[in-house]
Amino acid sequence: MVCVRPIDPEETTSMDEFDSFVRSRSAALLRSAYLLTGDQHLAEDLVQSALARTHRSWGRLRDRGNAEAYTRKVMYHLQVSWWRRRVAEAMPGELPEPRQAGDHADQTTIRMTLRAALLRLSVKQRAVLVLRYFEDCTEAEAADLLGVTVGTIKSQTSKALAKLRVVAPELAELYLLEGVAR
Amino acid sequence: MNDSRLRLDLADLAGEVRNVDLHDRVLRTSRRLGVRRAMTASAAALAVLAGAVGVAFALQPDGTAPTPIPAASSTTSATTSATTSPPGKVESSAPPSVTETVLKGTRWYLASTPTEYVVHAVTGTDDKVTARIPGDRNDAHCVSQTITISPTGKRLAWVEGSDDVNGTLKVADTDGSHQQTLGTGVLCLGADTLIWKGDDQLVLTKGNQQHLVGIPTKADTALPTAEQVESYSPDGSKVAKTVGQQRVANGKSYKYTPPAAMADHYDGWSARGLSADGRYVAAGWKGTDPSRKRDTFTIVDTTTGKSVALPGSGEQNYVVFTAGGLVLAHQAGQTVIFDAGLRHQGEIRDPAGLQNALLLGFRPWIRP
Repeated sequence: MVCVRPIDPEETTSMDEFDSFVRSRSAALLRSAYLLTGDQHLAEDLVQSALARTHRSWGRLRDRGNAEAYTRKVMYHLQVSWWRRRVAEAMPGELPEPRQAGDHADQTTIRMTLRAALLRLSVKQRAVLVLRYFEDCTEAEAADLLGVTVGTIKSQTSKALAKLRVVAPELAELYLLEGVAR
Repeated sequence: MNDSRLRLDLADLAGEVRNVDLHDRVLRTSRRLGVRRAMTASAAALAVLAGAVGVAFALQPDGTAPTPIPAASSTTSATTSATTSPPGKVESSAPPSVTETVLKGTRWYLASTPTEYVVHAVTGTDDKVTARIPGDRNDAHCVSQTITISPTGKRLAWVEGSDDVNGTLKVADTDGSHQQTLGTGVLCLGADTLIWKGDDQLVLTKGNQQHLVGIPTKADTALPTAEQVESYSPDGSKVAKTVGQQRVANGKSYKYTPPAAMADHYDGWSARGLSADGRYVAAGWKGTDPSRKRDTFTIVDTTTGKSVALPGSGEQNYVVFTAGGLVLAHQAGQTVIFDAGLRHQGEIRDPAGLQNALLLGFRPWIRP
């Protein structure tokens, strides 16, 4: 996976290219949005809002190859902006019951635990984790997307991982054990 | 920490999301953003122009307001936010019997099926369907965005259109009878494009201009383009509006500063409801997704410019201001009742099947 998939400018040449862009990239955008919001409908709302703003700026995007980068930038910024309202709605009740040590890792439980743990992070920490470990962005790319310094990305990443260990120790344990095993 | 495992688990978690076709929704949202920005730019430009030629805007209550109607209500919806100030003392007092007033009064709800919108009238535990308006839930967004009931429950109004931006204004009695067409090219974007002034007049938007339309008379009066009417008090005697960049309620200017990031995201806010005494406005974001609930995010005390939390109520409330001073907040399958000073009075459960319906209006019971 690359941080932002560039669009070949030759792929599309008219306003219809926006339609093509939406249909071809929605799925990828939704996956990122789902990690950011933890909710199907909020993810749809986020991608929809970001794409609508891209649509309004489509004529001004000099390099259509940057359309996805622009959309992702808008999406991440919108998510940070929405945080004040969303955080109360999205915050889960309790984390799933911790797995007993030595249990076979059940992927469903891991997903639930990870989703709940992500929502315990600050929105910026979550965004940084998704950019770095899901989008595979470099620190510089993540900094550019979020409009912050590389130093901020480093510190937020460190804080995010530390908080992940605190809010989901069983997850950290799993990652640690598997890391050692390898 | 094992980064590789974290990456794999993130990818696995991301795989939970269902892919959906967002194309049409994106274009609708984009059109809405464009219309809103054009209207805002137009109003701002005219305000500047008017200021340049020395026009003084009248910041007084609407002198043409009708005589107050005894049992009126206006509907809006609200999401309570963090309290920045407690509600102050309000001069008007609660009706003598809140329970009787609310339980014996009539609440109207809007529900939907895949092919029609259904208006329910609930009195006590009696739930009656009073009107059915054809409309594909997945396609007829103009109807769902605009359907509204007049303050005393006398009339229904809605916009029918195929492009989700403009349509034809329809008005009927609450039981769906006496349907008539009152205009075309009526904006249906946004949460509150039809604004009742009493039972017999509606403010609507054509192009970038608001019009006041008389229902019995069909008189159509263009309103000043530098002003934007946002809502009327339940009896129609007081108005909340913007005049240029200035907010005005009940003839007095006020200032409220919403959360900046949210305001930027939603292209600002508007007053979706005005209390009977003209003191409180229910604030809602302008640019909410048309397919979503018509929520507002706080109630603003216009005398202080601060937001007021409804005590004991959660988020995503629908609020009804009534002429008698009662305030009803609809949330999570129940209606919470407040007096004119926003003091909690009690709550009643909503009928089964209507917990997720939209509260359209309320007519208090009046002791014979």
